[in-house]
Amino acid sequence: MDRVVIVDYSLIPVGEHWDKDLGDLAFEAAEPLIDKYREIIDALYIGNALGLYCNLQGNLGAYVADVLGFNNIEAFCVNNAEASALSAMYLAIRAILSGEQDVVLVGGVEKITDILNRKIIEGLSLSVYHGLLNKTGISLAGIAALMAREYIKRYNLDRKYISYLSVQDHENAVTVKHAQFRSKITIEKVLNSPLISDPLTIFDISPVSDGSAFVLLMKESLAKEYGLNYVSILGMSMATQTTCIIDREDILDFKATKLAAKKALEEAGLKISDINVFEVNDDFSITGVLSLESLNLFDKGKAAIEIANGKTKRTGIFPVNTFGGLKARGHPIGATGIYQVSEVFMQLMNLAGDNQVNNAKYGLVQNYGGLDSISCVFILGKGEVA
Amino acid sequence: MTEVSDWRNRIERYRLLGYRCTSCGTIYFMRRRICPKCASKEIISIELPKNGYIDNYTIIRQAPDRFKKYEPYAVAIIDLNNVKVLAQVTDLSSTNENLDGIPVEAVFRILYEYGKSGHIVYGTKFRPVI
Amino acid sequence: MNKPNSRVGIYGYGAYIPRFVIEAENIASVWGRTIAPVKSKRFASIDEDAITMAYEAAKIAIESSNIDKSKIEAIFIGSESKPYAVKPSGTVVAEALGISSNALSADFEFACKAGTEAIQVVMGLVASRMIKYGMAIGSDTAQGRPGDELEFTAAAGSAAYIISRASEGVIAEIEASTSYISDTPDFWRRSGEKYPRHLYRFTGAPGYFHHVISAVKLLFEKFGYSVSDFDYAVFHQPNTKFPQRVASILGFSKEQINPGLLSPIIGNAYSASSLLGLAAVLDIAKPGQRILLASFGSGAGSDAFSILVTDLIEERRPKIKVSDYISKAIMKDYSIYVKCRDKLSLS
Repeated sequence: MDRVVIVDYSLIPVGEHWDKDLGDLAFEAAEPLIDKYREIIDALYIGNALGLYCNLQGNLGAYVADVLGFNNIEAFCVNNAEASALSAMYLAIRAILSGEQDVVLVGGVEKITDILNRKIIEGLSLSVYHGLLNKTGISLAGIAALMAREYIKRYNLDRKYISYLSVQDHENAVTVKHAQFRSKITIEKVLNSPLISDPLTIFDISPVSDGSAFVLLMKESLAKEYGLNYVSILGMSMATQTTCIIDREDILDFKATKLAAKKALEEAGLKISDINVFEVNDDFSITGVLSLESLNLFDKGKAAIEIANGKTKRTGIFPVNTFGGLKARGHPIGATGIYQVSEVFMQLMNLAGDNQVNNAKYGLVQNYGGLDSISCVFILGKGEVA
Repeated sequence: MTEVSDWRNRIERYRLLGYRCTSCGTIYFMRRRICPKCASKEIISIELPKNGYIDNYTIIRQAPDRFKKYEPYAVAIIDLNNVKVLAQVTDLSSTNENLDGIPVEAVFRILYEYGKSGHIVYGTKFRPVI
Repeated sequence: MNKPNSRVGIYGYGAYIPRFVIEAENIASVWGRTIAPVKSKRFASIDEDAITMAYEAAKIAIESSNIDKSKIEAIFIGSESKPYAVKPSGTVVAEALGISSNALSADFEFACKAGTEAIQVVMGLVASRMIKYGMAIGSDTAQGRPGDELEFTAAAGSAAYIISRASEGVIAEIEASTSYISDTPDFWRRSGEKYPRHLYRFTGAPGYFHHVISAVKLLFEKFGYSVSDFDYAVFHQPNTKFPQRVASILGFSKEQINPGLLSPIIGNAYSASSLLGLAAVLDIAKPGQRILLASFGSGAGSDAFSILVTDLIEERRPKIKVSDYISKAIMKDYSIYVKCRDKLSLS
């Protein structure tokens, strides 16, 4: 079958880009790809979650097409909260598979820091049922905190285990040029930092980030024609579950991720144990833990401990978030998914430098929104495999 | 939210309404027009029980803009026997005490206001039983 | 004022006192004062106001009297700390309670007697058969200027009374009532001002004492009552001394006033002050006992009532008593008090 493949990527450092606006971020990130492939790009898919809220700019498909110098191109903006970027990619892939498009530029862009912190907290909560905030004053971090407390109680764990993923993320990001935070932290630092929503401290929570990242997609046969190296998309799926977290039968059950992962792996003809490198959506330390369990990588209640035991280190048996994940590389909301994909692309293409996982053949990207209300899972493989 | 949407939802907040599918009996916190379990459209709003126990909670120390005035405050999953709801817990002696399992009762309180000259939005919170 | 032409009374009642309490000594220590007119006072939490407290008292009145809510056709809230200068508190409370839209609502103001005058008006509405049941609520989160004497006593609370014709079955009959008013500048707040002002000692004799004594004497003379007809006397309670002194002037004993004297520990709950005292007495009164209720509102006026307890009192007492509120307090200090009562912003 003629799969869709990723032939190139481009991204900018994640951080607080005070002097740049949304258009600047998109342009800087996409520029190398525009320089090389402008003539052959058929369509533009943009992932963005909070452009209307933070930047008072809508219609981002057409707007970013403007920014990137396109005329009359087909363009879409996809808003699936924190899963916008991967959702945009999902739709782009479907368009290429259907024969509607040949070459598609997919990117995510987010410029959160145009609004102030307290408004950002409100903006982030837009990815779940609005009544949760409006009736109770809970924040997204508050809901994650409830998950953390439930996890600790249910499995009778020492609270500290929740936070080892943050420590690992920071360790991995030290050698990552595009990471927002490149300093190591200890578990003690995490535990003794200011509480945001008990028991989560500021180090259990991904930062407020601006960022933009793009990938170029085309059919495998076309990539070969052009003589380009590539990473194949072997499987992809997405699923949803209720945005009203309190109505879930079990708040620790990431059903959407489970379903999407199952289908994606089936499509790729692989088992979870075949995967060499993982990107999971750890917007909160606990959600990284729960994501790993919902991928069936670890048994329920075991992921936190196994992370602490080093199983998910770059040199571990299941390398997770090898570039620092959402916590240390950063989390530019609607753009995060393309960062995840780009990082797995680098791993599979042997371009990961100091962060390289040896012999990485298959990668999995899990990017969700609204605490697993919507989840995309992609299985990527080195070119010419399967 | 805006004043208009607050007004539209006021009874839901004032009387702690839940939504029950009359076909399969499931009760939802979020208003449903069609039951995701059994696809029935026969959904009615019901006043939920006003007494229950705290199942889980967190203390919000960095609140969204509208609620900043009240931080830190506790938000809890409250077990009302036939359904679990999310609500703020008020009238606490301190935010450092353990709230797991304590019996709570519903009260009518200010949720937030649109500044000093704007509307006051009221809703249901819970407090430790007197 | 004559008696209503059908007998009327209290069908149900409910009280609410917020849980936070601050000791007068704590306030005194901040401002370097030595005299404290009460021992402690209760104040509303940061998420409470006169509307939320009115709801709580009304809810208890409805639940404990087991009344059919849909038959309540009037809801009056008396307060001097209305959250909105223009927007009725009554409509919010009505919808929160689930009272029918086919009702009359009004907010009353007359300093501390806004609750009792609402009772007088409902009496007229039910006696005339215009409505079957009406609710009168006194509710206040009184505000005292930082450092002022009144800061010791300005407190919070609410009390709700459902009034109906006696033939509906009341727990206490309101046998007769009077009202006495005059234009007196003892205590006031101009529109737009955050804190009230007062004329210190002038608030005593020409204010509180003149009006309370006049209203009570009017009640006694017109309807033939004397001190010995009453088992209890409840007065408006701005502090500890005033109600004790007016009782003594009128000839009431400590035993008659103590059960209804709450101000020493809860402070002055303004429109709820005398009504909370009445609730405390109704919590313990026996059938056949008679209660004098005399409120006072600055500006100024007094409503006086003669209330006769019936057999039905035992059936409809609220499960939560005033004494329960008093015993379950959460102690706070001045810093939390000013945060809760929004005194830190520049006015």
